[in-house]
Amino acid sequence: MPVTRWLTIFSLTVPSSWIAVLIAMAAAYSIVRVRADKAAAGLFADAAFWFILVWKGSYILFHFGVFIRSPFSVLYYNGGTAGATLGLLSALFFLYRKKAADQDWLLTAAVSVQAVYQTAMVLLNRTGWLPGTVTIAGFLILLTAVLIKNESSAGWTLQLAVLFPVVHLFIAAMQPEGVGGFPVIATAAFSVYFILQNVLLSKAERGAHE
Amino acid sequence: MNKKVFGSIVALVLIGALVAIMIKNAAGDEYSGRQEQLKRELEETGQTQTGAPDEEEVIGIGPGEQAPDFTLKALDGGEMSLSDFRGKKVILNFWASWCGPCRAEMPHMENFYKKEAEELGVEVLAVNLSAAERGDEQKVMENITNFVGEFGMTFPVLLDSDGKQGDVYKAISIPTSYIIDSGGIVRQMVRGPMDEAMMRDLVNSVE
Repeated sequence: MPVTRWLTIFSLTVPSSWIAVLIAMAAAYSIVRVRADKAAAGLFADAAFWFILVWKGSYILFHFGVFIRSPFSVLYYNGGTAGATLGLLSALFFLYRKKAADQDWLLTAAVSVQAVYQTAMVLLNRTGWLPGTVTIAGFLILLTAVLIKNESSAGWTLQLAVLFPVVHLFIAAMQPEGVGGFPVIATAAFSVYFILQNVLLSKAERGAHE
Repeated sequence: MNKKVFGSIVALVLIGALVAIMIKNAAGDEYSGRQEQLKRELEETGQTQTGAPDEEEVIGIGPGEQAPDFTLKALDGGEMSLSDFRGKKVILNFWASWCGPCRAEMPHMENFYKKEAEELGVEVLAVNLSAAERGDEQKVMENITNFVGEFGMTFPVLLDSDGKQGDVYKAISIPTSYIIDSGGIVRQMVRGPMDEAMMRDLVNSVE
């Protein structure tokens, strides 16, 4: 979803996508807090914090020359798409270290972030009616399915984890930016990670029983 | 869900996505083709937007208003007016050499100017708030030329020597930038520094 609106908060103008990300993270936190427990919500908040920290901080890595000449630039800037990808990988690594990589609530959180972010982007920016409607309807159906079925059985969790990137790909194909943006990268990376963790773990469990 | 049924659903949605991508590509080609044709027709009849500014246009710095015109001295000699760039999008940036965020922004602005500005049909104008620079006249010029040299700025630098344009454009906290469309209309005011991605999105969001 391309940004077509910028908001000025005090003396800084920021893209509407930042606002959409913050709303999405807050919403996902609340959903995890209600559906799972306080510990899960805490882990999600920490992971979100890692994401933002690495996304912002990776600016130093990608623009070292600018950073040396004006160190304050790190306050205003971020690492772009590459930085966001690094941020996502750090957050996923953090969750892996905390042994939360295969938890059902993580899929719920990921789908919530994506669904709320995409809906907020449609509402905050100028969007054509077709991509707008497809985006909101598609993600809300997916989120509803996840909220109803995710915790009911392991089979369902895996199926939803497959359905998530497929549905997102379909929606992205309808959006003006197409399938190449960071949101699609994020969904794809998350799904591969989550499915691998689930499959590996169930194998390890089976191994332990034999 | 039954594995077979689930597999079919996944396959169907995937096929749907592929079809959507194909349709969009085809429609996109057709659309840009039609746009090109329209442009050519307009050029033939001599109706491209080179006319005088609309008399009824409200002049101001709010979105949708005609950007106030000005003529300022350029750092490398001569004078430039905002209206010289009518027909092109303009990023109008206000800066000063002592301003930290401006220092942070300039490398990104130069990079954007060098790599993308021409392709996107946008000109970058950097107005130095010379009246707000520190020191006597000689020191001010020294500060400005050092700054421009340090960042290797290749886009036009204008000097707001009497501070009038800084006032008109309300450049209170700097950097402040205005995104002006090809018709000379202000579309967005930006407070604080921008990076390449932000400039690209901003320029793409205006006509």
